[in-house]
Amino acid sequence: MNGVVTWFGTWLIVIIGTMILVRTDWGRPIVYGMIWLAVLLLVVSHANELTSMFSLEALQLNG
Amino acid sequence: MSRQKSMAAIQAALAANTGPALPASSQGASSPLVPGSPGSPISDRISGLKGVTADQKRAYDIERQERLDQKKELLEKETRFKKDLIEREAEFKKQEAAEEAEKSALAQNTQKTLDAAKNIVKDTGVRISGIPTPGGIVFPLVVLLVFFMLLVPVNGHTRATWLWLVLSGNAEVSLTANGGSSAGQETGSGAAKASSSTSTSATTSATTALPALSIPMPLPVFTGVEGMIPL
Repeated sequence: MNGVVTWFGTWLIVIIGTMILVRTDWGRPIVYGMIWLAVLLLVVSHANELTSMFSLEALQLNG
Repeated sequence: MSRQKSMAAIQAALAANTGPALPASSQGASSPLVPGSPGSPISDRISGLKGVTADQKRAYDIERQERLDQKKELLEKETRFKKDLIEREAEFKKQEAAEEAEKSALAQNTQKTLDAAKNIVKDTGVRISGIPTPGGIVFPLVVLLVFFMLLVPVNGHTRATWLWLVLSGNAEVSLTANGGSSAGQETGSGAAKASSSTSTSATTSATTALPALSIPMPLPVFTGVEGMIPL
C-alpha cells in the first residue's frame, strides 16, 4: 500500500510539474525534449522486444 | 613644612595689608613703579610687609614660580590634547567617508551583477522559448504511449501482443477463483498452448518446418475441402 501511494504521489508531482512547465514559454521546449528523450530511452532499453517483433518468425506469424 | 609656614605667614600679612602708606600722587593709580601699589610685583609688596623675612620672600617666590610653571605646563598639555583630539576627529571622519564610499561602490557593483544575471537568465529563457516543437507536446506523448504498448512486457507478453492474442482468440481475460481478474490467460482450444519459453504445437502438420514458436499460431482457416480430399 505504501509503495502504491509513493508511486502514485510521485507520478502526480511529475505530471503537475510538467503541466506548470508547459504553460511557460521556456518550459514547453524543455518538456518536449524530455518526452522525446523518454521515448529514446524506452526504445533503447527494450531493444530486444523491438527486434523480436521484426524477426522472421514474428513477421511470418503476424503477416 | 617651613615653606608652608612661610607661605601661610605671607598670606596672612597680605590679607591684613599692613604695608607702607602710598604717596598722595599715586593714590588710586596702579603704577608698577610704586612699591606696594596694586600694579607693583607681589614680591615688592611682600617686602613692604612687616614680619616677612628675605628667606620667606624667596620661598614664596620659588613656590609662585613653580605654580606658574605648572600652570603653563597644564595649559600646554591642554592645547596639545585639544590639537590631538581635533586631528583624531578629522582622521575618523576621513575613515568614515572612505568606508561610506566603499559601501556605496560595493552596493553598486552588487546591483550591476544582479542586473547582469537577470539579463542572462532572460536571454536564456528567450532562446529556449525560440526552439521549435513540431507536433506540440501531444505528438511525442502519443509516440511514447505507443511504444509502451509495443515494448513493455506484462506477464510474458507485451500489451500489443496480448491484444493480438485476444483478437486472434488465443487468449482471454478471465476472473480467477479469488474474485480478481488475471491479466491474461492464453487459451489452448485446438490451437497451440503457448508458454513463455517453449511452445508445443498441436497442429504441427502445417508447421513442421518451422522452429518452436513462443506465440501460438492462429487457428487455420477452414476452406471446406479438408473433409473431402483424402490425405
